Amino acid sequence: MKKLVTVLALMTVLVSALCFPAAAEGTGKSYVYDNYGNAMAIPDPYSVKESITDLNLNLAYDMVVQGDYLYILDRTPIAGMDNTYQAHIVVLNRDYELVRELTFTQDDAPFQFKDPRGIWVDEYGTIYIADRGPGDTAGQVVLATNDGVVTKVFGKPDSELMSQSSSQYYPVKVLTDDLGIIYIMVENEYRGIVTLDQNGEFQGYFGSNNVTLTGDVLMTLFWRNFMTEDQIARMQQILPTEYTNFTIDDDGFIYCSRGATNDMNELIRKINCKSKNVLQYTERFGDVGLTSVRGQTQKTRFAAITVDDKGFITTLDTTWNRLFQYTSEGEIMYIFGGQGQQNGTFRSPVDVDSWGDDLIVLDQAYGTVTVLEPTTFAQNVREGQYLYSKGDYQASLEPWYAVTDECMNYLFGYKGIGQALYMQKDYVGAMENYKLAGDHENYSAAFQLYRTEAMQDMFTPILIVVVTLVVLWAVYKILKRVGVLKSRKLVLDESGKIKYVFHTLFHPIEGYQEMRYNKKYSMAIALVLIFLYFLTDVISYLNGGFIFVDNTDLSRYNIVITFVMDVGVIALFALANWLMSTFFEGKGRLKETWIYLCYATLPVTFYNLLYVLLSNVLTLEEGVFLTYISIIFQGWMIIMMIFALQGLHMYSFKRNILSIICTILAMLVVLFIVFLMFNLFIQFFSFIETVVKEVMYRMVVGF
Amino acid sequence: MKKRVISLLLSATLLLSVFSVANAAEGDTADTSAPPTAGEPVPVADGFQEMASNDNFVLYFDSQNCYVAVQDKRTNAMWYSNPLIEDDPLASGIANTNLKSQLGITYTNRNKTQISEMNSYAGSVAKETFSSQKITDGVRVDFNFSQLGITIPVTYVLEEDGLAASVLVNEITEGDNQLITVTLLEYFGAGSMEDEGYLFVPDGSGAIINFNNGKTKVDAYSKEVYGEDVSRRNSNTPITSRTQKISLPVYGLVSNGCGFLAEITEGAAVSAIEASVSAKTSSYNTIFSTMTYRISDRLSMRDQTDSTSDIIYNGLNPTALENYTVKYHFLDSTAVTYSDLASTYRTILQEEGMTKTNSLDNRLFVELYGGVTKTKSFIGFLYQGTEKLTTFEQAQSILTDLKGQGVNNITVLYENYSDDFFNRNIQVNLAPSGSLGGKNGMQNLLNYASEAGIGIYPAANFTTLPTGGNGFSTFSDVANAVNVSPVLVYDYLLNTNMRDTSNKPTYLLAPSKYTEAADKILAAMSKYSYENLYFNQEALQLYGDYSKEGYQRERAEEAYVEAMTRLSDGYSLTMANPNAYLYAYADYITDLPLSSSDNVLFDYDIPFVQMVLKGTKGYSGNSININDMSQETFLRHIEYGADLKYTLIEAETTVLMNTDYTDLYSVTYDTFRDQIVEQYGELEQVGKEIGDASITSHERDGEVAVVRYSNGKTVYVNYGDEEVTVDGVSIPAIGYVVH
Repeated sequence: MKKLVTVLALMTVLVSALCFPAAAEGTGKSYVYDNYGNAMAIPDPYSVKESITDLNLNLAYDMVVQGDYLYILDRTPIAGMDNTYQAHIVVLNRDYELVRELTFTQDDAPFQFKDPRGIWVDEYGTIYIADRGPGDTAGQVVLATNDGVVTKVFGKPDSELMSQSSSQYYPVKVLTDDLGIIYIMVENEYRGIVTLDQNGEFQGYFGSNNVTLTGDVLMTLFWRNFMTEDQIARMQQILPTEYTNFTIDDDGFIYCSRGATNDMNELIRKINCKSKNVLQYTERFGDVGLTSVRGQTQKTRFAAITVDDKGFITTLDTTWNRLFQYTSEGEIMYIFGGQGQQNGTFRSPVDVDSWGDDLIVLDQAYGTVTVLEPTTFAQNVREGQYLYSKGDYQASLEPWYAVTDECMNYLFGYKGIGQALYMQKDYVGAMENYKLAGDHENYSAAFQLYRTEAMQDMFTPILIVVVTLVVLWAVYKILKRVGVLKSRKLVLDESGKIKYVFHTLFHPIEGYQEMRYNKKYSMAIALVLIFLYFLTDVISYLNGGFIFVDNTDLSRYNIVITFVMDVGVIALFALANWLMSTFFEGKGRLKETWIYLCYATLPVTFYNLLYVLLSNVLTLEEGVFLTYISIIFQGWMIIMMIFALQGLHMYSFKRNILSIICTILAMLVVLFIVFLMFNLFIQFFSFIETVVKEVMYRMVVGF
Repeated sequence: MKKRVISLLLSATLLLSVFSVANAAEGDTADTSAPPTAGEPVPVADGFQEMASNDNFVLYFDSQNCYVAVQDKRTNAMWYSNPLIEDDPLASGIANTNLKSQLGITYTNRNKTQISEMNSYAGSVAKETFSSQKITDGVRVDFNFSQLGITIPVTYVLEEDGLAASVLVNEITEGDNQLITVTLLEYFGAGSMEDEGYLFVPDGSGAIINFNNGKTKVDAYSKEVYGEDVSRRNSNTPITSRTQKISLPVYGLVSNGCGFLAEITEGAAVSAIEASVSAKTSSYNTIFSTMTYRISDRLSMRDQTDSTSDIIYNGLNPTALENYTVKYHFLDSTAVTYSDLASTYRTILQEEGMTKTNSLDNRLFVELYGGVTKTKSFIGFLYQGTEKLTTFEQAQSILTDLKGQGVNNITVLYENYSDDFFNRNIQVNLAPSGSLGGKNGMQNLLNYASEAGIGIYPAANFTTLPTGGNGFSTFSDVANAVNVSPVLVYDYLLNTNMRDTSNKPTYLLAPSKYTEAADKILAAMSKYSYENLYFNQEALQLYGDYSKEGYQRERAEEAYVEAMTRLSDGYSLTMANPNAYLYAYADYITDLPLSSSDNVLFDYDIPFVQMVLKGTKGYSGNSININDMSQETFLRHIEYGADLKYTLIEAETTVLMNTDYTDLYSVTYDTFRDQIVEQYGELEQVGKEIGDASITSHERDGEVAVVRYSNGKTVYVNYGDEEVTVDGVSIPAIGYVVH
């Protein structure tokens, strides 16, 4: 009978996942981002050298390389004891073979840890264990000899600077520097890394995080004034994103990884002894453009960081289980790894370490240690970058060329070639490669030197041309004055309408009034002018200099948007203004309003052409000049528009300004309604789609 | 209802009384360790009776537990369907009763709110709601899952070379609950913790899972046979896998020297192969297959990425299979190796009609891309223009150049050369694009090639419809998902693993239209005097159409076979990693995987597919220049007897920037010219020694692989950094020797 009951119970066992396909076997694919945030395939930078599956790890948390050994910290339970664990250390040699395992003792009795999470071994072989305290109990840092004999235990530092309100103290990672200072990463400790001396005396905080002031933070600060202490305690504290892990290099710089922030800036920091981040690149770490998957935003979260002998920084992302390798200045090189059960992908990785050129990843769920080694592709990238950073520009060219030969998507490679060529004074070659890399700043720098060179070469021809032109002009003037050449007017403008196009340009106030009075405006001319306005805008994009315009990928350019921004806005303005004119007793009709506004676009048409010319000869620093010109010409257009409307509607200046303000408001209302309608339509179609799908399905299946 | 149950119970008891001898009470079954045991003939365990026998085998059946056993008279091995133990200390939950079951099923209730699990022991045998009867050469068992209203008949029939276990699919009856999957004989031949042996899974090139390998924290292996069904993807979930597929419907088990090759002879297209090691869910190492009777997919109602409202849809119709059959071929040896499993399968395929390709000399496979579409600008007006990559004339000059360098045997796979491609149509009309040289240009190339002895294989693709046209409409001729709306196929982004909605999706041709499409291709063949055809991996994907009248995967497989039968008549076909049912129609196979998916559960890779095909078909790996250019990969080609494949264009690779083809990130001919010539020369030397011999054995010992051929030659490949001596032959570091 009892058996039958178990059988019945088993019948209702639910299967959480669908039968198959089963869980992801592996989605690992290496990539880099292009300049628009698209992930582009690249050859795998690292390949699996070894996958060590037989270490019998229970719940591994951390590992550290010291000298010729790799130490892995594994938390194992003690039978019959809650909240007490053993720290089981597995030691591998350089060939990744198990050489010994050890547990800790104190006074010849097994040492009981609270929750061992972090391990560090200093150059003398002393083992440091960060022992996180469970619940409200304080954790500790345990020092032991290389054979596991516990020598010192440092509890919560007794200092006024440490919060004394609760006994919480969660050390999770630990490391030491050459001077013997102990750095402790404490969970929920936002003031920075806790430092102790060898006697356990508190030395202060290191590498303090700053709170980024965002709107949310301000609001929270405001509401705090009205809350009880209880409420404040329950509320999430305004705290800088805490560090997740750290490491130290031979020069004593401490590298920290941080969890996700809103802006994804400074997710890794290289901190000097003065607690300053010294990385050159500090922005946009991790994956970009990650959408939400089933309502959950997938933001990169770096959980571990390592730096190798050559200064390359590798971080471990636990959102997608990927590895990100950065240059010593924090510039992204490539992204690889991924979720899955394939060698080279991970289920729940907790730590990454580097050993020579190898990368070692510890997977907690599988209890595996995966050793990765760079492929030819990554070897070339690292070589190129390393040689360049050492100042050996000539030698860095060869690996960089090998890199771009192997993968055209690797824009960083073109930048490398560009830098090397730049240093060799091949500015044309450098510009070409910077353009491929989409690097505007460096392109501008190379262009500046190229221009200087070109100017020197071109000086004589330019001088000859200028002198010739000046002489010709002088001769022409002289001949005209002495009457050899009769001044003769070309009669192209029989109706006298074209004259007003230019007349209004320089005499907007009386020009437009005169034009109206003489009825010398024409729809045909207006259409030509607005078309030129639009056309020159397109030309200024397509033929603008690469320094200022991102026009290497034409598929990103949408001419319709340009049309709407140019012609559509003017048309909408004309319509709104005409509508307003009925309130302000304006005299102009819709057609006239449109024509007048079209006439007023002429300055910007000129500007567009000027832009094509100047953007091709100016450098990025001189770009401010271009901005001034743009302000002048656009201001000119606005003045012309104002006087065009004034002349057209026969407004006073005051009334005109008022009507323009109302026009702009009306435009906003129109745009708002369009936007609203658009949204409504989208939702409506989405609804229809659902209904149609359901009906179609029901028609086949039956109701 | 009650009456029916009673009658069933009655009949069951009747049958029991017919079969059962004075059987020991429950719990009295012999506590033997798991089968098989070779050597001295061992009598069958208590409770089993002989049901059938032939020259090689005896079939036994335990009518109380529904266990079956097969004795191999040649090796004296005894193969049991279930371990003969009462309780497994390592099994918990449903695994406990799975050990005693022949079937595991999943089903949904009427509301389709959840999928539940059940097995034949708990659902039928323990409640005695089953019946068994003797049939010719075997036994039939009807499992009645009385509580679910589902009845599943199973037969075990003894054949000359083994046992055929079948689920009689068209006799399955359902009540309120709908049957989703059926797992057949999960523990057949299962290896216990004392046994030594391994499991063979046909993942990619093939892989071995050792018994008791201790990888208990890793998920068990489970993968669809013949690749993922793209019709079943949920548009709102990240892609699950970018790994190798299973293209052979076989798996194997070697235990204490004896072994079997299990072949899914009926229903492979709707099955999955699963494997697990001991101490994971039980004390046994198991390999088995699961059939999908009716698909059940979680799909989104709306076609929006952020939608979280999914609905479970069950297939309108169950599979159209008559039977689902797994045939266990027991090997006549007490020292079975995986090479023996491979040669067993090679013999099966040859008996089924896989013939030897005429020329098996070494060849270079060159995949050429004619052109791509790229956004271009005409004074700011954007349009989709043609970017020429390799015109027909340029193709000829590449080939002339290669020939001049001594690369004599070339097979060209020509992609993106037709109007179909540039017009975004289904590629069945195959008219050479005017921009690449037109019909005359193509004719010149074909003439040159036939004089030079080069095979030109223009690509065709009757599965993918970018837009309607060429006689096929995206409304009426496309495959539907289970929610009866057309399947939209998107690319997947590398960073989010979600679909890339910035590009337009493509449709899939309904498999019922394959023959119509094949006839159109045949017309094009004579019109443009093509003699060969190439099908890439996308053109050979197996997917179902889940509309009411649609062909599901098992019928799509038949449709493929029918289409390829027509196309291979008089023409030569090259296929990229086809599934086993198409091997007979291909002269050459490209993109044959040179590795498995490298699942952590696997212990090592084996060239199983290559051992099956070597000496019968010519094959290559993936394009070496866009996958892995390392020396190790080149050595892998030598070890696996594979030819080289390169993907090339005449233009600079950078013209592919900002197109849909950025994954072809290094394909310029000039970059690889010297490397191709050198590698081809090396492979040609190896090929001369081997000829059209087949592989008799493959072993991997540390860094050295030893491959023996039927003509007595042996290939030694050393992946290590140091010189090694094997069989008295010294193999240089990172090198090879043919002896």
